[in-house]
Amino acid sequence: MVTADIIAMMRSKVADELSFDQENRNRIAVHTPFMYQDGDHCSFLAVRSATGNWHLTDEGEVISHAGYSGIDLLAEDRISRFHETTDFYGLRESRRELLLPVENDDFGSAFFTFSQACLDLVQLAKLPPEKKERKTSDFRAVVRDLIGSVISASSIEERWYDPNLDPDRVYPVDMRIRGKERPLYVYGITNEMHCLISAVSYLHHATRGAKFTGVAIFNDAEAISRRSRLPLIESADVTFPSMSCADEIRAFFSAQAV
Amino acid sequence: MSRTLSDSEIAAILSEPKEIGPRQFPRLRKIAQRATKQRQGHADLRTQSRRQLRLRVSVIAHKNGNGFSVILSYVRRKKELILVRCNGHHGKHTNLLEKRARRGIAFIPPNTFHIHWLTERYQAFFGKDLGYAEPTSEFHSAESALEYVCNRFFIGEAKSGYAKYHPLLE
Repeated sequence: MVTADIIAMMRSKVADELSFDQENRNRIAVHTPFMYQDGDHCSFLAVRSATGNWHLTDEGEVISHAGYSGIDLLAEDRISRFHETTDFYGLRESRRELLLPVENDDFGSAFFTFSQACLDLVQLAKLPPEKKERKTSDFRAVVRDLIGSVISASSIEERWYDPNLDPDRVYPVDMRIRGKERPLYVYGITNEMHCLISAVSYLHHATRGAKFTGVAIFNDAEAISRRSRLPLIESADVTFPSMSCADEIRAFFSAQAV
Repeated sequence: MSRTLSDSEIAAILSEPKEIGPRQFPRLRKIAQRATKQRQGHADLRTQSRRQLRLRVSVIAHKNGNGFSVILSYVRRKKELILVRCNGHHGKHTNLLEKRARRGIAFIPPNTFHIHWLTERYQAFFGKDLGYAEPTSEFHSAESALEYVCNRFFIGEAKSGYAKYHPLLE
């Protein structure tokens, strides 16, 4: 068989595998040979809008298909990847439906773009959710602003080391605040490692006779393993499990700080 | 999930009586009935064997109420393995093993109500995906698919004492 025949055969096979269903003058169903992992084929519609422009739509099938395993591509921990992919292919999402305008009547290019986008988007469900960890320094700024809203900013010393008990500057206190009776040592916790370092810092100062009130403020205590968070929670005098306690945090510092 | 489920294990799970909370079933049925609105919901099922099973209903707003899925899945070690998935209308489906072997149901045409089944064969060839499906006339809407799954796989409301009528317990 000559190469020209092979090319012609492949062209004809690819074309044969495509099927179309004209539902009415404004809607054409496109059934592609491209398959998702469960054997279902990627299919979508070419729809003419009231303005006369054509666009391709999946009518919500891609997000639904990805959701069979209980995963929502539009969930907070997946949506940035979803948007990266839709932006890359030039798709728009509206009410869980994917849309691609057909520009200059180039239905062929739109067909390939939309098919590939659908397959890629369903594959996103296989990836683990994105970990969004707030940087420790960012969280410390959030906590500082929150506390600074009820007490004088000059009362706050950030990244403080006790010159007597910690001359080598090994055990940091995220924020030291002048208190009415004793100073407040505040730890703003974002991740496992920071939680453990804060627990060690707290215990270092407490066991060497420092008089202070230890305050642990978690970005999200549930996100930190029980084994890592318990040493700090059990030793700190006051604990706030998340920033949803902002009102309580403000009330505490306005009552305790100078 | 460390290993695949054999056909006999799948059959044992499917034939086991399952209880759904008394408020859960009406909630899922409501989702299935309003098939013109994009919605989804799930309910965990109770079994005597303490296996964690889940019933999931999802509806697509388009497709004239024919875009839906009703799923019965097995949750183990926080991972969900779909045992059965009843689907409404979408594109064509290909059973790859049947297509290669040129026997059985190789293709399901577009816009056909169908059921995906977890099988030992497809797990062995393609991992844990639900590659095998059969066309069906057992249901024609999300609501009737939900009823079909409940009847076929012995899912009853906890308050009704449903499980005591199950043939395996007689």
